[in-house]
Amino acid sequence: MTLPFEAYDDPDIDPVWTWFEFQLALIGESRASVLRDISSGVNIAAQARRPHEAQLIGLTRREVEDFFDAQRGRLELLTMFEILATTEAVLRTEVKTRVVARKKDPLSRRFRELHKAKGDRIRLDEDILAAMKEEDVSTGAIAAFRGALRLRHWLAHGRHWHPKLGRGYAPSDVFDIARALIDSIPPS
Amino acid sequence: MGDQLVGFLRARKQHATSGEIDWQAKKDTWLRSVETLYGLVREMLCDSIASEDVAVRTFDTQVTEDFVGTYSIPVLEVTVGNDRVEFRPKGITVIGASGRVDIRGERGTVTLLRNEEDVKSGWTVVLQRVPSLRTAPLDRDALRYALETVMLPLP
Repeated sequence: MTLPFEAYDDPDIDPVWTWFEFQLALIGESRASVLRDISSGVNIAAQARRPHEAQLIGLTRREVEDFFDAQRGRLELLTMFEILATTEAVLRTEVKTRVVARKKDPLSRRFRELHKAKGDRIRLDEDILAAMKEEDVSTGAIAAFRGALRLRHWLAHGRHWHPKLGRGYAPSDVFDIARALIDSIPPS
Repeated sequence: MGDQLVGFLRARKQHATSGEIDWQAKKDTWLRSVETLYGLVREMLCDSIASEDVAVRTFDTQVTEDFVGTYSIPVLEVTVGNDRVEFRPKGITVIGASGRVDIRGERGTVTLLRNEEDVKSGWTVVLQRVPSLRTAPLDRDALRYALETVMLPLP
């Protein structure tokens, strides 16, 4: 399969959530299937297993549970990253759309000024979120998203330091934060 | 609702009973296969044992597994100079094999799997898991690989 490496013009966090839930269900099914084999006392040989399960051969129940917990954990981290990255794309697309449409509402004006001053070098936090804050977009939604950007930074750079996030995050938290911010953008 | 709960639990119980497994028999077979494994390892090491380059002994340990319970099983200890390697049985409730023994040294662990279908020794060595599972039948070369992997490298 050749992936289409091209502009994604209609970013949306909902498909990310659908993907997450689907993957989570697959992990759950695979976990149940493997654990069932242990308790059934049946030794399905490595060759007879699905290829992605072959690396589990010889693992104990506890190790299998640890393996699937790790799968879920990695999926959750990746999902949170994907939601935050997609939300950035939503905001940048919003800026682009408002700049091109030349609408008269205050936020569109601010975005046009930004575009005029910075062109393609508009920054997410310092420019877009700052402009939204000044134009009375929910400060709570902006603050929560800004907090989550620390999580995104940590994820994007390989998690090689202990992050100071100020709170814990689950995929549903990040989704709610992103949704609240997107929904708080006033219509043009 | 109460009847549905009773029915649900009865169906689960009947399902479990219909496929009853003789875990005691499995455990007995397992204990014998571990003894056979240790015999095989001693045989592979016999020249080194005779020349006193290697010393081997066994001692008992307790293993606790779901369905099987707690039982006593021997660990094989192989001593080479200052290095000590243990063959530690993990149990029979493992995925895709009828038993597992870990070869543990100071540097790491290599897994041995018991395969009933394997006509040679009945044991295979896990050479790697990632990116894909690679195993080899337990023979002198595989044993050398396992010992080399788990023992600290020479300075």
